[in-house]
Amino acid sequence: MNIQNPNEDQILDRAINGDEEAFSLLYQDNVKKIYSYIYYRTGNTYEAEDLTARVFQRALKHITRYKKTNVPFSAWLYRIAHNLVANWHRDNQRRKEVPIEDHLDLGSHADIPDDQYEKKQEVEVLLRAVRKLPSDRQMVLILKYVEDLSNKEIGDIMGKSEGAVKSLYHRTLLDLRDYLDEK
Amino acid sequence: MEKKDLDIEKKMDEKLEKLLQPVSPNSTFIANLQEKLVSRANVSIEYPNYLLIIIILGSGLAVGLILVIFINRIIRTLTGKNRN
Repeated sequence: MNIQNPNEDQILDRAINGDEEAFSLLYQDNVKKIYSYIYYRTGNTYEAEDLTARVFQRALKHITRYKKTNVPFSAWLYRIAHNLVANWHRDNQRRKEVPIEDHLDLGSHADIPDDQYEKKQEVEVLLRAVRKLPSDRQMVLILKYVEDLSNKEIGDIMGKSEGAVKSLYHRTLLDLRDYLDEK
Repeated sequence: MEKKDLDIEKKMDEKLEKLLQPVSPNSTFIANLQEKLVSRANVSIEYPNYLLIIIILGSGLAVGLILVIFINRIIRTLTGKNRN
């Protein structure tokens, strides 16, 4: 079936009715954002790929039971991702991370000037601090900065009010500051 | 909120904005996963033919029973001859 320029609602309706091509379009629209979210939550490219695949496999399995609401479809995918990441953290207390070097291209201290090295150390510490936050706070930060979502959109995804998200965000920034001050 | 807290927030906000950028997955991974999700597998599922199973088992039991009876008769015949 060839879908030409239908809106997301029609695509979603077709996917719910079992149209695999429609689900494929939903996948293309959402895979990068889900991957980004999982990448920052796990700090590992390989785990991010594995968990992203499991998110969409689970979504495909249950799509026919999806109930449309005012909340965007991506919210459902984020919730699946959130749950899978939580399970992953629970099952992998000791895990190997190859997080920062993978995408920040940090050189050794001998290769780069001291001021740049210090900045990169700062980045490492900040990333580590973000990953130590509770999962809901990590989600707020990732959705806000990586996906550039508004507080309302984040609230729709997390099932919180806009005010609650705003408050959580402000508290998170202050907590990060406190954590970094300790370090 | 105090000005000091606002300044801290602003600085943290700027740092996080630089740090948390979208990360693109490998394009091969995206394509492979899409293929896996929507391709129809060339697998035919075979369901057991219960009638055939019953016939085979039944036949086996019947043959076994006949063999037992036949062997039993042979043994009786031989035993009977020896006594005589």
